[in-house]
Amino acid sequence: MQTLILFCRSALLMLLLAAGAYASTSGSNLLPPEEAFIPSARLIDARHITVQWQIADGYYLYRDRISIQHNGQTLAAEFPPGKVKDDPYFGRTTTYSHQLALTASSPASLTPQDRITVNFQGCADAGVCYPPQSATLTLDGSDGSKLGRLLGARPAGSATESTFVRDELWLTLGLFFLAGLGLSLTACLYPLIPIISAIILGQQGISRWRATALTFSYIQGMALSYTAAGLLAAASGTLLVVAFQQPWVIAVFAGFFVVMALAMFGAFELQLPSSLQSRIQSLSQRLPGGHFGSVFLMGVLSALLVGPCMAPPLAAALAYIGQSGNLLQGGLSLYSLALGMGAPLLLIGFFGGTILPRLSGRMMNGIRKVFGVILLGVALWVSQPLWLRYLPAPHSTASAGRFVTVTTPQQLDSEIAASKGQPLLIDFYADWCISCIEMERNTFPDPQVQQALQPYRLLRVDVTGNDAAARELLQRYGLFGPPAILFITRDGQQQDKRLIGFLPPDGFIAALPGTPEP
Amino acid sequence: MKHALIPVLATILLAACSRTQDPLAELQQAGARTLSGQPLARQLPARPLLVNYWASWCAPCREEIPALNRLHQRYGQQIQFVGVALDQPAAIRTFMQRIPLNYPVITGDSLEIGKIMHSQGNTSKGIPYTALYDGEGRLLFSQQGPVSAAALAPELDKALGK
Repeated sequence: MQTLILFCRSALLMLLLAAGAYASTSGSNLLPPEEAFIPSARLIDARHITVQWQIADGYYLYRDRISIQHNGQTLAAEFPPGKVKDDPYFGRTTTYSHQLALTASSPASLTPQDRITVNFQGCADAGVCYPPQSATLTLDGSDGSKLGRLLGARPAGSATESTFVRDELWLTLGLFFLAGLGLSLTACLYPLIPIISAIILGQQGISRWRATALTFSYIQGMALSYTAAGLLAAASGTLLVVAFQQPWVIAVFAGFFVVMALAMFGAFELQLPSSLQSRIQSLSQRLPGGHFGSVFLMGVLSALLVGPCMAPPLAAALAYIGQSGNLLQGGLSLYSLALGMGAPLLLIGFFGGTILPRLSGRMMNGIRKVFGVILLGVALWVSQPLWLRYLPAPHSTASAGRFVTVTTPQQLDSEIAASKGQPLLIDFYADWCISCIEMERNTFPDPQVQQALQPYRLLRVDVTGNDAAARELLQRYGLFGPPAILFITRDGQQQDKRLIGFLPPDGFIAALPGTPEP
Repeated sequence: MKHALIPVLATILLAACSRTQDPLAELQQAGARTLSGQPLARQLPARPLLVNYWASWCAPCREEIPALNRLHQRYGQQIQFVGVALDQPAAIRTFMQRIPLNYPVITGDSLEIGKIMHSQGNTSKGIPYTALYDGEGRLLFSQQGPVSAAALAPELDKALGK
């Protein structure tokens, strides 16, 4: 099952990459280090953090060159086993590819607002190494892991994420503009084309320049909405990222993608209802200054219309802005993004009908169907947190069968009540937690671990959904997120000892809180 | 200390006068120095310059050092070779005890050197990165990833007008 999910993920990634291929700009085929290695950090409890790296295919990190610091103090880190390379100069060195999740513990108490510095260094299999990298991360995970969860991986076609570390305003704005251009090549702007046609090109007898000016006004309206979103994000801070993880928000996004996909398959025509069109027309006739006002207003509304379609890349952009908390930069960034998105519309406004119908009907239909499939894939992907847990447990190992999975405080209470007289092990787990999956694959199936766990009743608290119930469960035990393992004695007392992060089989057995009396 | 400053100032002045910025001067402005803390003078009259960015922790970089040593033996009289290490001085010394470099090495703050390297055309900042300039600081050839003596020799010949 794990492989199936992996397969699905990679298939979807391929689809997205195909969609974003237009937008790829890199001249050299080597990634800059900030795209090859993407770190993120999250608090597990007041003294433990998990730091994860997404490592691009064909790149690896050196274990010995990773360090984590908080307030200038180096934190102790526990590394998972990696790949051992025999280096002719340094001897045996451990490296990590694809993903690395490690746990670091701090002597001082930490909060989700704290910042840590991670240093790391890696190379590409192609025979090129990068200078040591350093990144400052906030412990609420807003730097990547939560986004990574929502998006599955970095969205193709959005250049924004890699720029998150830099703060040069112009560079940021330029990249947001480019990202906007990239986005305009996706299917998201398709529903705007009929609107443009209807309210601008539909006007009889207007000059090409006037049409262009109208389109420009329309884009300004659209940009206004995005700017407002940017300001809002900057003001709300990381709250927004949390909002994006609400199951109903995810469901709305996924639903929108499905609707869009259906439209692409030709199930219905996407255009403004004629009543609205005529109302806009009559409104525009009454507005002083001709059509510009109404077109501007239409632009404002259009941004809302396509907003959900843009959600994944937009989520990334907004999360970045929210994290920086800089109002000016936030507003300007999304303004640039909107300008970039609008640039191709300007072309349509200028050339009008002459550039649109050049594609033959059959070809256009083919393209629409491809976009439809991609959109369905995106819907499936975005909604992953919703459906993943209803699949038969993704871990078919023998150990999984022994865990009783609960997702609400009520279920947990009744399970705890039901196991009086037997010591309990409570494993906080989520599908998006790499360390949890490593435990699942490497530690729990180990025969000796199985043996050591014999006396315990095994409960698994699945917080994949990150809903209210999951948050309440985490809060109850002072945890900020998985992975964590708690122990409850046979008479229902929680033990002080708790295990945080990945532990290999022998480490896990050694860390168990004494053999519970039979 | 005063003596140490003169060659740096000379290089900087020289660079300021010429149309293009001399890559070696640029690196020294960013604080790169030899292991003994001295600045490295640009050999005059200005000859072609081969800059090799490397580090002891970078396996592909280490692998090309013998080839660069050989090339330096052959071309060192006409072309100035400089190794620029993105590394700690102690690590460089340890490395050079085992595998000596026949040409001078400068090093400094890796972040600053990385920036210069980036501005000199290595956009992905990966090393090894080897760049060949003419006497006026114009880039003639650059390569990311290991270079072989066979691939580099014709470029060096070209730089010498052979």
